[in-house]
Amino acid sequence: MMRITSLPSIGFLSLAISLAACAQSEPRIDYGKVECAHCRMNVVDPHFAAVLVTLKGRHYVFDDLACMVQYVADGTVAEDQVADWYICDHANPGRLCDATQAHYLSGAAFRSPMRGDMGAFCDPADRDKAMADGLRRLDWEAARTELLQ
Amino acid sequence: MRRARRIGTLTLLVFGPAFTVFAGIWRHASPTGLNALIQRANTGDTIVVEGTVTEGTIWIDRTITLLGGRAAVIDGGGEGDAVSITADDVVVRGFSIRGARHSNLDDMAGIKVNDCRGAVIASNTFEQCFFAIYLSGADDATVQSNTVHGSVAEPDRMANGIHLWKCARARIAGNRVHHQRDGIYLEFVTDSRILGNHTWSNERYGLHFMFSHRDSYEGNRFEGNGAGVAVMFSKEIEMIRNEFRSNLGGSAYGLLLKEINDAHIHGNMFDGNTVGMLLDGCNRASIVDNDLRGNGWAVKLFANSTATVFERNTFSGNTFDMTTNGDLVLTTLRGNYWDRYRGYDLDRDGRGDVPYRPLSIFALVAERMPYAMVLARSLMVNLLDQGERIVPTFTPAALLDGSPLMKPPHG
Repeated sequence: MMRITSLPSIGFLSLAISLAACAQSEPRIDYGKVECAHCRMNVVDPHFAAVLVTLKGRHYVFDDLACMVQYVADGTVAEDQVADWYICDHANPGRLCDATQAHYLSGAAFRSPMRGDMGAFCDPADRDKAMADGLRRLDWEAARTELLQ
Repeated sequence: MRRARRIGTLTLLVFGPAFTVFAGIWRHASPTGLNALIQRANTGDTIVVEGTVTEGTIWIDRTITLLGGRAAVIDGGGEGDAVSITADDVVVRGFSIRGARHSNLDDMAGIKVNDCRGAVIASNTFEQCFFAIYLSGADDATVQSNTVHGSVAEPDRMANGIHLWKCARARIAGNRVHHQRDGIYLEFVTDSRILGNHTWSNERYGLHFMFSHRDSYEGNRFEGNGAGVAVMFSKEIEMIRNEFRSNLGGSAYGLLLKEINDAHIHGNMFDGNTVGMLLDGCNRASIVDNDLRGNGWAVKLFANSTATVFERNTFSGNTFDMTTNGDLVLTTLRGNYWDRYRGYDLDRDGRGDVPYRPLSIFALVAERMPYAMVLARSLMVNLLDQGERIVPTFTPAALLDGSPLMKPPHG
């Protein structure tokens, strides 16, 4: 039989657990299980997936940057409610980074699930390595504008 | 030439434009030299390959027939595509194909067909190729009786089994695909037929249409795929006598219809799926003679779908027959069989005399509060449902079957 002796330690433990539960967790994509919030397709490709985090801490997963941009443009989530935009690093499939700081390439060589056809790179060196004929360099704002056309 | 011997000459008379074609038959049984032999072959020649070929990508740039003889294997060696076809009317039949490179940026395939007509890919077996068969800009192609084995251990690293991009008039028949991403994927594909294929345990969809029009799929079986079958952003698709079974999961559907116009969905079987059929933005679909049994939700019908007609379908053993997310439902239900129907048929015309409302109030509650599901089949929920059936107040008034069948229409 175990005996619980220290009441303060239990209090401390429960406080620690509840604090940990409150922390803003890093977004995680359950590939193959979750569906895109915009187009309903199952998210399977870690080269193109994206995540939107709202100020309230809600996560929306997308299979394509085009879906995320369109979703906010449609007003399903208002732009001023967005806390973070995450995009998968094309050079490191599955690694998420800040979409507003990412470096983009656009062109038919990128066949993304919903025809956004853009690759995002967290590291500019990776983007320059992937640069080829028929591709164009874009920053976040340019990428967004193009996807909304 | 020791390796490749010309073993016969065949004379073919081609009628129509009446001229004579001389076609040679070659035999090749060596790990290397097949590309060199193809370069020597003439249009219309046949090359019979025996044993394993391991010289990287095989490039077929002229109209020839490549036949797999005894133990014929083409191993791409993991460098690129295993076979690349760029000429019209090429036939590749009877090979075991492996060793296509897995790549982030390039779409590498067991057999890739680029910008040509009339390719025939038949009776081949693919072992863990990234894409197995990849047709790009290939019109009038036939893909028949192939078996595609994806990776059981790592299905998430695979691409699609049979992948068509910008093709017209393709025929995809009798293939078997498992453990790829999508079993069969069609994007910008028109006027094509998908017949008698079997796809199972694929990571995403068993069959996936995107922006494809005037196609039909018939007599296929889709079982236990990660998310079932999806038909998206397409027009005039016929879906006839297919089986959708055991597609289970939070985002899995027997058949997911998204932004579809003028679909014909006739005589299909939906058995044991989390959601049998989901209609999201579907206009003028005709859903007739289907059998929906043992599903969690037989039909999820979003209110943005208009002019849908359900007729002579059988609903039995489903936890929910139908749910919707809005009040205005522009859908016609006519003469379906519902195993929950408790009405009577005094005039004995085979149709119930009181209408049936397939939407239970608990289905509406569960749609808004998924966690309410713990109360399913409880006494309170049953009472609520019965009460709502007698005095409908919450469920959309228009969503009812005015002439429900007393017996299933098909035995």
